[in-house]
Amino acid sequence: MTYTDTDETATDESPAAPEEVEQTDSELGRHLLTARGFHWIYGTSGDPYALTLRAESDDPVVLARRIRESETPLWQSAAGAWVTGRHGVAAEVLADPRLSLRHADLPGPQRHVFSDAWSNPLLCHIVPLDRAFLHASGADHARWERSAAPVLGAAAADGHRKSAERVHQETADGLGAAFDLMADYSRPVATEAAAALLGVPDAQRTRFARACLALGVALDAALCPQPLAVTRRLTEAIEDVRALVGELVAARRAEPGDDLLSTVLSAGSADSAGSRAQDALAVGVLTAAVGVEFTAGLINNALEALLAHPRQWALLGESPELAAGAVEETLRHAPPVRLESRIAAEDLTLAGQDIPAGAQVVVHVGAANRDPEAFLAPDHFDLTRPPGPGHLSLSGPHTALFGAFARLQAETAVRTLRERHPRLAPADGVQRRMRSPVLGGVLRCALTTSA
Amino acid sequence: MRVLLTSFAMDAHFNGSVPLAWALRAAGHEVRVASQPALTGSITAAGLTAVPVGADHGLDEMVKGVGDSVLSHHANQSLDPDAPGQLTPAFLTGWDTMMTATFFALVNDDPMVDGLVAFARDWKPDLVLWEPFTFAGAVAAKVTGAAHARLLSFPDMFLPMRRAFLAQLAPGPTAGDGERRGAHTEDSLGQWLEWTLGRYGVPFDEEAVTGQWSVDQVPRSFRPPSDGPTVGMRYIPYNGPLPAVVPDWLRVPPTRPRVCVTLGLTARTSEFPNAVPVDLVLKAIEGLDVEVVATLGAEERALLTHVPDNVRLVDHIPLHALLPTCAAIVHHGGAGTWSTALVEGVPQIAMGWIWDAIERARRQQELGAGLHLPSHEVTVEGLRSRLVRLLEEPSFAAAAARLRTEAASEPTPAEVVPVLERLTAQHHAHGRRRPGGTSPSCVS
Repeated sequence: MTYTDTDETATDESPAAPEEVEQTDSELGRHLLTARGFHWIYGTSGDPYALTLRAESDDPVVLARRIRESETPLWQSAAGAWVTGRHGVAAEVLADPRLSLRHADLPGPQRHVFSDAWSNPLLCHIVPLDRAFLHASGADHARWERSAAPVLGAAAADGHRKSAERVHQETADGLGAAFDLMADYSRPVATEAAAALLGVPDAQRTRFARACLALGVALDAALCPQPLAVTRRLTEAIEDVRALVGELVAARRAEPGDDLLSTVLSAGSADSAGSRAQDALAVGVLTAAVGVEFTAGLINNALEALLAHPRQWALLGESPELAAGAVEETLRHAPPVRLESRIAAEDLTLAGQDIPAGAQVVVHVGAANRDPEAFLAPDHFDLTRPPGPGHLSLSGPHTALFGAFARLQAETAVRTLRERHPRLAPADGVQRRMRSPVLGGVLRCALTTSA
Repeated sequence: MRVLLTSFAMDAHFNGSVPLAWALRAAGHEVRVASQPALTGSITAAGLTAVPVGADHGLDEMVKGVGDSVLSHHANQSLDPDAPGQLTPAFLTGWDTMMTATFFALVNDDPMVDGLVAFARDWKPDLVLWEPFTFAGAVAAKVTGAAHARLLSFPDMFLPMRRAFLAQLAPGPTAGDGERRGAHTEDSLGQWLEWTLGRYGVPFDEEAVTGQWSVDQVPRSFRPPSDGPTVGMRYIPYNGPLPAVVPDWLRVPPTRPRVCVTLGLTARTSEFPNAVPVDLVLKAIEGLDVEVVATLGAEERALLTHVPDNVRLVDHIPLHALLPTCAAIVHHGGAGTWSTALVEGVPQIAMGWIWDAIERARRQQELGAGLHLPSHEVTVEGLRSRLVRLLEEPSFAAAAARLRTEAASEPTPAEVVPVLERLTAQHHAHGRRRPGGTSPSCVS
């Protein structure tokens, strides 16, 4: 998507920016309901991808295995999408520039109306999330990644370590004997770190945190219809965070700092000041919409896995430097983003299948990361797993952008919690949100520090 | 008083409201029947006054597109809340989600609801009687303050399922369950009615699903346990809009036991599949010492490889005229056919395979008045042996006669009219408070 040389941060909206489309509750609700109905309908045949999207009560790991073990490596689900859970094909799909987050021939919002279309509805963009920059082109993503690299890139991670440690230690020391890992630790530290990246002033931190919480369903909402009220809260949060980040971008243009937004604003990759401001807005909004939930999810999944394997938790105590391996193994074993959805820009052949232009191709990252062709004992969590063929958990444009950030935060979390709370233990099972096939969003995860 | 009857446009769902509409009209009340334009011919053919509202629903397109999957979720699935292991949370959630998305919200789409509400605001009915899936009737009543009730012409499996569904949604003893559910309530029907009523500024409550009371034309033996107020009414057969004409041959008493074979009319006029293997049915009867009257449409006849000598094929015939001459009936399980055979006291073999058709047939068998043979289990030998039992074992006719007596003990539609007058006076908001509702908001 290209933007005209106007300044969204100074005026209300750029004329080329995706418009917010107003729908009545009845229109939007019916649309979401119908999509949900389709997922149920397609699931009646036992289709594992449709059942994954139902995200109801079936075991996601079992469904992931069924997706991977399908007869052909890439197969077409009853839900329309071409799906793969094989590592080789998945890596190929994720690296293919002809597969993008948006329809090549559909400018503007990725909106599909199908409330009464009973054959072949497009279930690839359940709600248009262009306002959150979640359906951007490969070119946009490459530019954002480049211009954000001085702050978000792998080489920059060490520079953030000290401040991360401080936040994590303070948060860890403030935990009671019983606490909720997501609500009291993972999300607060991820939100705090994101706010620091963007330079959100203290007075706006509560507003920012509230928006991030509502934005937490964004990646799920793209593929799995959320209830009307949840969708409305998401849409409002997107607008709120756009406004908040827009104000910050305007302020940084007047007075640059060393934060992420200033870095993007000063990058030479965009061709004008206006489009640099748009890029800064995009990176800022994505930080709230993806960076926070992705990071919090990774922290949670890492701790959940470690606490489920007491010997590895003990080992980590002896060798704290294994924290990085624990995070890497979590990314493989329990990726915080499980599904990557793409649209074919042109007719192409993948894994021997002819994929027409406009078709949806979905990579089940969780399934590919446990492909026995690529990993020994793939279902086993092992923080000492030797480096081998890579997991695919940071191979999507969103996860790549925030990969180094999330890694650093999760590694710091693992080290800090192991050091400050060696007797950390699960108090109860983990509750995950329903309708969360992409993120497996954690609702609650009660732990005790003194078991 | 002014009575507005409404049913989404489908003969099988509308037919059951005709005798009560006649009774109300004959008692001097004003009666209107509102539906999508496609039902206008059926309404007027019944001698009633039609009010077309909205635009025709796309039910047939839905069935063509995804009907197989929706029906397969429900096929051969008992809806009996007391049947162990049947109404699982997964089944109930799928039922609620799929039926709301593909059926309830489709046949009560915004234009239909808007049209009905607009008519109700103009005409100001005292009472709205709605077919149990035509929730637009409840919406129109709640918006205008009219009394409203469901008019049932098939066993009410819906409300007990709805209760079972809501019960499993309620926060369980597991900590966090309520929160998990609360964050993502799966009550699709409730949510759809909430935003539908919300367009008129009226809050949702469960009364939009249950009505203030129900008029139930199903004999007591077939009514699932219900805690809602119910007015029983005798089922009076009405066969739908096709001309009801008695042919000469029907006036001559049969010399051998007469068996009726029918697959109903719905499969002829909609995309709903007819699951009955009609050729097998006639083969099963071939050679028996009976005479058969088979009401089959042209498409059904085309499926026949051979018509046995003892079979008379007719396109259609009023069942209430034919069945008193019959010793047994073999049918697809539809509500109108089943009810007509029941009030005529004819033993039945019902081949129901979906929804309440299963429960009607199952219960009928339990009561000894017939046998249930799901269509996918039909074999020549299996059907023939069941039919022979029906004809030779007198217990079937005796049980069918008992049910006929039970059905006849219910008040006629004419006798129900004063009850409705009283209930309407109790429930409608006229004279006390008449909420006008607000205009539908365009943007939330």
